[in-house]
Amino acid sequence: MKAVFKVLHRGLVVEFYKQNAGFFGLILLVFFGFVKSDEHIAIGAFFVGNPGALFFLYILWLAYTVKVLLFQLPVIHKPELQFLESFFLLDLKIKILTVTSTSILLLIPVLAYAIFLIFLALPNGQFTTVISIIICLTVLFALLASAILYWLNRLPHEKKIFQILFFKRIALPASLFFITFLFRKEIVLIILSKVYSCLLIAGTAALYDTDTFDLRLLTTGVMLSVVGNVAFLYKYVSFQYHSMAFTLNLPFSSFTIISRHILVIVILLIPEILTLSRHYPLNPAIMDIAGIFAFAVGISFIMFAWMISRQVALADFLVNIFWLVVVMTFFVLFSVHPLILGTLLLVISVIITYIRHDQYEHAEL
Amino acid sequence: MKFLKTSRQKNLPVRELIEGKTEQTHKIGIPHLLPDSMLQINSLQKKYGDKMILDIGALFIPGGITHLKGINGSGKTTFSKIIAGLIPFRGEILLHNNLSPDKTKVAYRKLVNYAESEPDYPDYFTAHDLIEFVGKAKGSTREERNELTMKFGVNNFLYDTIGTYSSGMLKRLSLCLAFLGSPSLILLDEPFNTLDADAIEMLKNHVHDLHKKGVNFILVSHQDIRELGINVDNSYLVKNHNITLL
Repeated sequence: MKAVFKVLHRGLVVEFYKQNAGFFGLILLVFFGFVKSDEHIAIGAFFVGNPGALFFLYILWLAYTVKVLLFQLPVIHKPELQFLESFFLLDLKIKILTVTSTSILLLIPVLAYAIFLIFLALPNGQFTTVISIIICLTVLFALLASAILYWLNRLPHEKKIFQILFFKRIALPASLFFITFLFRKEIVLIILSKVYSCLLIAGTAALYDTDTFDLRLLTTGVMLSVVGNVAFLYKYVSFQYHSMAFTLNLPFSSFTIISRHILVIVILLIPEILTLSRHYPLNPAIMDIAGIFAFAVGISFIMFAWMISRQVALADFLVNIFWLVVVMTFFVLFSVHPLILGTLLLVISVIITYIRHDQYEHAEL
Repeated sequence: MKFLKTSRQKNLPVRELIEGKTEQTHKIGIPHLLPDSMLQINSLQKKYGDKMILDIGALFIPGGITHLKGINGSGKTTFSKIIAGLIPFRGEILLHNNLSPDKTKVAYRKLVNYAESEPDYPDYFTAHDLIEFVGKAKGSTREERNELTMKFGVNNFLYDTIGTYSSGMLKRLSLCLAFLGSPSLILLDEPFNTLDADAIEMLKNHVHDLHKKGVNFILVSHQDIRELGINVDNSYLVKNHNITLL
């Protein structure tokens, strides 16, 4: 059993932490570099004392588990780990023990934080919270372990049957190519960016509980929130012109290309749109809703168009974004309706994209 | 132009463009200098930064199977990517005297297919995803897609993610994609690299079959492909930023 565990440990666990060293480095830097120990305790106490916040934390843990799982499945397929295909020959007890211990090692960050929360909850007698944390952990471990066990336990040809049953004739639609890329490769970026932009929108909308509705304030909030997607758009440009460069040989009209870009941007903005619809002030005017939507899409699309017309590194591009925000804030403060601004931005973006999209040449920056 | 008679050529606007009958052709104002030319290049320049890669005054490539030779770094791949419409350039390229990658983008790309020398696709796609996507864009039928996947042996790993492919499997997929639709010109960059003997034989036969149906080929390779049994009609050499007939 020791040998099997060693193989799984080296092949799956060490590989996972090695390839995600940057991510864990960032987490350690944030949590042990900037946050003081008493602040850790205050944040932890907030989680254990607030069921809504605790639920949000569970969602984050689930996202992390999905990230681990999405990493493991292709790794199991790799030619250098082909010997894992004899895993199904092992005794059931050995299989369960080794996969469970592998899953525990893969979920160590979640386990460590859960233990920290349990130690905070126990002295205050918050037993319901402790039980809910234990249940959540058990579900996550069971989910990960059973998925890995299922996959390792299949014979090569059974894996193929599994894939065919699930994926036959369902080719990935082109508008989801980039979204799939984000979920496969950039799950942490999705979580961090969307948490930022959705909280900003919810926070701005929450002001209207006590203050009079002001479209200018909401438009500014939405703009700052949508600008948070700049990293996604940068990845999108790189994805489109590097990973998918072969599509430049395909006979798509400019209309199809531009419509597809807009569709991808709208899909990227779904969390913000949902947050806004959930927190939008009562009795909204249709023109205002259309304006906010057009403005959000327009800001995103102008960033994309700007990126393909000025090929610069992300850090340099952020300077351009700063000026975009300054100019747009100026227009918003002088009560230019977001529908006019959004339409104008969309028109400019369409023109830039039409002229520049096949002039872009990818280079590593 | 034999290829126009094949049953696969059903896109009327493209046919009309090739024959130079449409109003669009007159608007572009392209002179019919060489009535039977397949590919005509005028004043083509390509630089990467300040470094000149290609500087071609005038070049005429007739139809058939063309072999483009050159040492590593001579600009063969850059040239084939320009012809495929993948990278921007300065100058003029005309296919069948009428179509160009920058002025008649859609019609041109319907007729020009390309397979890279070292294909690189996102590792989470399956061959099925790419074949469906490229096939539909190029206007191929489901039967044709099935036939090509069988022919290139891609059906054996159609639903596996690309991250699990060997270099040979990746090459087979890229070649399969290059034959989808109703191309008039297929550019294959180092097509025989990483292929096994069976695949080379199959590719060779497929190229000859399509050539008989009027499809033109530009095979970019540093090797002497005549030795592999390919009936080459013309050979060109990429050297000193220019391309010359051998």
